[in-house]
Amino acid sequence: MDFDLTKNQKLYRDGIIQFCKSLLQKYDFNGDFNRKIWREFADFGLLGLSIDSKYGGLGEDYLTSIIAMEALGYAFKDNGFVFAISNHLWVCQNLIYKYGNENLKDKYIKDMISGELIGAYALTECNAGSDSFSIKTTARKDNNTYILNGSKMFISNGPIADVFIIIAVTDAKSKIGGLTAFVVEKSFKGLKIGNEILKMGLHSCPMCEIILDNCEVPCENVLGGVGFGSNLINLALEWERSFEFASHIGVMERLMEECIVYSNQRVQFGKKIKEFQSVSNKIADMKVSIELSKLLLYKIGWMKDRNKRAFLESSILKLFVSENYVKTALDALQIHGAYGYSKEFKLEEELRDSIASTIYSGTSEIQRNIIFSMLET
Amino acid sequence: MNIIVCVKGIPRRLVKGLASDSIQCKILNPYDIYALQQACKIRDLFGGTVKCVSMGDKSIDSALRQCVAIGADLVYRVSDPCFSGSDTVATSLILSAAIISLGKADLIICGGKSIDGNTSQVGPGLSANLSIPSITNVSKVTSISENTIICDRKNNNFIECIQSTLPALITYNDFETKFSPKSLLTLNKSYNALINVINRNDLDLAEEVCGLAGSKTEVISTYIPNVSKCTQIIDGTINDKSREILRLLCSLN
Repeated sequence: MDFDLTKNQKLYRDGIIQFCKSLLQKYDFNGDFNRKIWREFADFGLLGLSIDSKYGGLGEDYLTSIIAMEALGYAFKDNGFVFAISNHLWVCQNLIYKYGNENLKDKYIKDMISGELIGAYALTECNAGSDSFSIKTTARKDNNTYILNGSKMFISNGPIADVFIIIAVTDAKSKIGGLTAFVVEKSFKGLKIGNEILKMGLHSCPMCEIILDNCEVPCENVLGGVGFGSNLINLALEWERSFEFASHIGVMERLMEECIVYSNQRVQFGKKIKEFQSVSNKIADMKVSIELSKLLLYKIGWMKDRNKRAFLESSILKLFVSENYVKTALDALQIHGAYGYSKEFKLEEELRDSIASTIYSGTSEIQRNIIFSMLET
Repeated sequence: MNIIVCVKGIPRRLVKGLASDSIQCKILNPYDIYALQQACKIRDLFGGTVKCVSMGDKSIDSALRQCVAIGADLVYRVSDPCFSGSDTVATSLILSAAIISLGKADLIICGGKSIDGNTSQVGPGLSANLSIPSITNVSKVTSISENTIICDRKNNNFIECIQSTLPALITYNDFETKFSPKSLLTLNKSYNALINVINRNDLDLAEEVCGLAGSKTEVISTYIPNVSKCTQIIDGTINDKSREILRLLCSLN
């Protein structure tokens, strides 16, 4: 096994880090989503990394894309914005690209890469979170159209999205084949964007409720075929749990470096605080979790490049990264003491951002259930 | 709009915050990074190409690849053993010949100076050799048409608005120390970018006008001067102080 990054991967990683740093200097970040910054990322090419050049993408493999996402999380200090990009890329654009027919790809992929269209994924409902297969939104066929009724909750990117992948029940009697995925445009009749839901973190990625009131979706916008919804949910979760969490590993690395710098500068009791094991041990733990996360993350990238399923691996990664992300953020705050508790150092913001990772894409509790169920016991 | 940008590779140690000279490759002069970024913006607005030209040996190839990452379409290394030791006169002559060999250029853009040589002479030298107007210390290009360019030029505390016919040469007085690629696509291109090499024979230049032989000046030595600080407090009335200061200043001569 060759664990070295290729020259191209190093080039992309360093280039993304430099680009992100230049953006951080160019713009003021006030916690709101900024479409201009989105365009900058689109013009830079980040939104088309793993898409074929036929659609304006760069045609890179998934492992390179994963390394790019890691660099993005490391360098771009607005975790909410990174989350918005991840959602757009991995649970909307990539799903259309991988599982949509040529018609859907021609219709949406180019504009999603160019920054014209922002994507979102709508599965969760008020009473269907962890139990996502018990959704109640229905889709009834009427000639060349499907009529969707229901509502979706906690939809990341919802207020800013132009294109949604919405999962609905097309056959209530069928357990496996009863769900279908639709590509729904914001402009379709009957789609309403609800009020924004205020959250404790990830502010630059707005979230809302989506209401479908006799929403008319043309039949040609069925994604993957009627009844493919259950498969799509599992596939989407695989992408989400691995590729979205790549950027969190980058954040963990950034936090660790900040702790190293601080512990080298801060002197208490006549010595640098890094010389106290209670501090250095925390930093050592951060390094351990980062390295182990990378190993599994890169393995998943390797598997995806070979069209292999990685349901178990992505669940393990998601569980491990999310819990260590929160621990890293909490330890970083603790190392910085009262300064860490202050708003100025922004570590409390990092902690608030990290907590969401143990909830979205399936809670830590659900991941443990999945992992256990996939073991031969 | 065909734009040529003259760039220079400089030792990494000269830019604060970068690793030391243990890395052999040279990096782009910060004034040239800014100049190239502006050239690419002009090209993106008006169409055309951006070509980068630099004089040096293979150690500047990584800097030329950076030019591609920033957005240059083509890059050229003007390289020959007999170019070594060229001062700004010889450099301007060689680069002018290289520019002529590349065909018609509407606009030539240079950084205001290089942070190692610090002479600011090559840009005006090029315009003299090419017999084209030059505008130095440009802060902003405000308008370009087929035959004219209008620039804002910083002059101490005020801005001059200057119009020139094209082709022309402009130098920018701003710099950018941080290299940021234009896009992942240009970054990808830079990895395998072809470095076109132009040597003395391609330019039909005599040996006598190149290198040390063609230079009007020679750098004898480079040293960091000893700067010592010495404080003297002068007491007394204003008249007393003025007399003493005058005496001290005269004694320096």
